Amino acid sequence: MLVIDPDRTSAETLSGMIEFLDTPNVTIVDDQSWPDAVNRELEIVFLGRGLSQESAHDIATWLQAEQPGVAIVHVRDSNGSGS
Amino acid sequence: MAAVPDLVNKFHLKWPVDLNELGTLLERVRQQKSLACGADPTRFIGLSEASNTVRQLIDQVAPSAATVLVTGESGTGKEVVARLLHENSGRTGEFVAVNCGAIPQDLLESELFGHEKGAFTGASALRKGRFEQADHGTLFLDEIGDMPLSMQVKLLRVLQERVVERVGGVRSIPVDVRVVAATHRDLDARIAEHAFREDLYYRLNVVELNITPLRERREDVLPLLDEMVHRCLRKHGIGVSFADDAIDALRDYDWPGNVRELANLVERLIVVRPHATVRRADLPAEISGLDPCDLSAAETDDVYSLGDMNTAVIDLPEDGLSLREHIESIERTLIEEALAMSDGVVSKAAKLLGLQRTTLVEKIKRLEI
Repeated sequence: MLVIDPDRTSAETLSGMIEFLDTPNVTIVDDQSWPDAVNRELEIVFLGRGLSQESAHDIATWLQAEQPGVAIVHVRDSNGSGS
Repeated sequence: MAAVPDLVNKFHLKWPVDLNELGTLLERVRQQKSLACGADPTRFIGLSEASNTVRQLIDQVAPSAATVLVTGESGTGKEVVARLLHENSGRTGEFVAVNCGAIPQDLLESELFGHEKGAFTGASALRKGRFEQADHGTLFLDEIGDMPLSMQVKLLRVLQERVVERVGGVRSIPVDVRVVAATHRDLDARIAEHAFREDLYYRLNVVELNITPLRERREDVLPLLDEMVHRCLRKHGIGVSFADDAIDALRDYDWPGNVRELANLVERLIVVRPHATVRRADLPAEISGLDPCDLSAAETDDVYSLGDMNTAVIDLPEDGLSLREHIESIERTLIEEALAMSDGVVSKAAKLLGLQRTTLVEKIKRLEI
């Protein structure tokens, strides 16, 4: 599992929660290093709340093309925006 | 909101993240991901003559630019065929799929042909339609039989002239798109009902590729089953095997939902009976043909395997007992044993018990374990 978020604090908090839920293999990648994701066997990718809708769209489209089986979750603020 | 793809809308979390919401979402993701091991999109599997014919037709037709109409009941694998036609076509563009029956009528035109900025309220930016996205590739129009008549006219024009006009636009944009359409409907009947245009039917039906229902090619059931189980094993490390009586039941069943129904069954068995040998009695009643009330013998075998509790399960004291309390006691014992076997990891214990993690959490709370 991979957590992508330029806002590292929230990504780490989220990954901590996921570990608490017995989901192993959580890794954090920031907005610079996320293309490395293509070389990995991913299960779920979390796009953090620091990403705008537009960036989330671009990354999600790219990841889906590279790894069609991956599930993508976008974390958004309560008002529905990405950041 | 057109810029946000469906896949992101399918799963989203609101910040700050609620732990329960996150747990529920992870379950949903896992359930949905598990579906991915059901059907192989890269091969049309089967030993039957009908399957051989489909594969031969795909090989013959794929390299041409001919429009193909794929017909067959729901769940037979029409999209798999469309993808194979694209993958063997040598076309350099994308495979783009549109479900014509799932998109509201007033959005379908914009979806297929795109729109210019300001074309209508909410069109805040230019958007390319599916035809343009599939340029030099293949556009798969699923459920074409459900396309509204008003759109059929526009689609016919695009197929004839090979140009599209975005909604609100004035420019004709040339497109090089190979169209594969599919339907589970009887298009002859739709034409007779004046619900489908005859000229569009002939334009689409340059080559017709009919997929036979699974019940008419029963020899394909086992190869499909084998492939699905092995895909799950490779992907998730979880497999199941089948006893002879289960194999017989699967082969005899009519599969009204076709390959999709078989895939769903495999997914369910992988989740609820991981690594087990599935017997006839473990299959849903409509497949096993057994009365669900008459499965006690088979089920108690499973209880024995989890612990020596057969006496507690089947002996009724002369002065009776509280069935509710007794069942709770069995539940408690099994849950405690499963938690012990999985070192307290709830998700592993849930898997051992064939339960969703959230269901097990509820039971742990209710039974105060």
